[in-house]
Amino acid sequence: MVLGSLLFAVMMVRLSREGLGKGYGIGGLLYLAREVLRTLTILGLMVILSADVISFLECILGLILMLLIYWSSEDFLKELHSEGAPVEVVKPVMR
Amino acid sequence: MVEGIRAVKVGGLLGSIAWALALANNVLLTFILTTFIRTSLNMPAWLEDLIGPLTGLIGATMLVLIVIALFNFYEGASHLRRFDPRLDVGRIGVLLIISGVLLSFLGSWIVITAMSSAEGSGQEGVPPGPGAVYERCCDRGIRVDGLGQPPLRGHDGEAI
Repeated sequence: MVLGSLLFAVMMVRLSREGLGKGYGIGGLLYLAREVLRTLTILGLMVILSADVISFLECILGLILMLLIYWSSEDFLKELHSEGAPVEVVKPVMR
Repeated sequence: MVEGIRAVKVGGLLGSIAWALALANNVLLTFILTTFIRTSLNMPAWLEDLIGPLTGLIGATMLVLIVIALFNFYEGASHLRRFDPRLDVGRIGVLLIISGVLLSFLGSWIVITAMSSAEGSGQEGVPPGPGAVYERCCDRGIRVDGLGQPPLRGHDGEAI
């Protein structure tokens, strides 16, 4: 599950680098941070934070990154459908 | 490409709802724990009855939403793969996440089943205690040393 999440995060960062929006990049990095947190918790190395705090952090990070995915997708689709779409946004679609 | 981003957007929306539900569940449980357990107040009976099914329902809804969101991400990543083959990594990632979710669900189910079967055997198949052994021996007319002569029984099985 952690490996899968890491791969999905890599895809999001790649989407961002393709010019589809910074939101994907930030979301991907948040995804990576969450997986690091989860891995440390599973390995029992997260001794600084209590289980309640880790659970809250995981939920908040999950919510923020899903919202980032949603907003970035919506922004991209809006820009794509608008007439004056910037070239760098349309370029990947034309490839 | 557009279809892929649209599927990812739907997945993101469903995922947001799912994580919001998870957060609400966490807040609810923490609030109840803080209010009633740490302050050693008595929890009302209706709340005690309600809290389990409510958090279970929220958790189940969250799980269903997450799985649907993951399928949307999978669909989106499949479309995006045509645009750039390197984005195939997302599809593989989603597959791994789905299999991980299913495996953890299966693991929990096995543990719960094992625990419930152990409890069942504790009620029915427990080794009989000394009282039960004496009762059985008396029923069969067997003398049990140290416990005296078993009671005499008539034809109808009643003790005389």
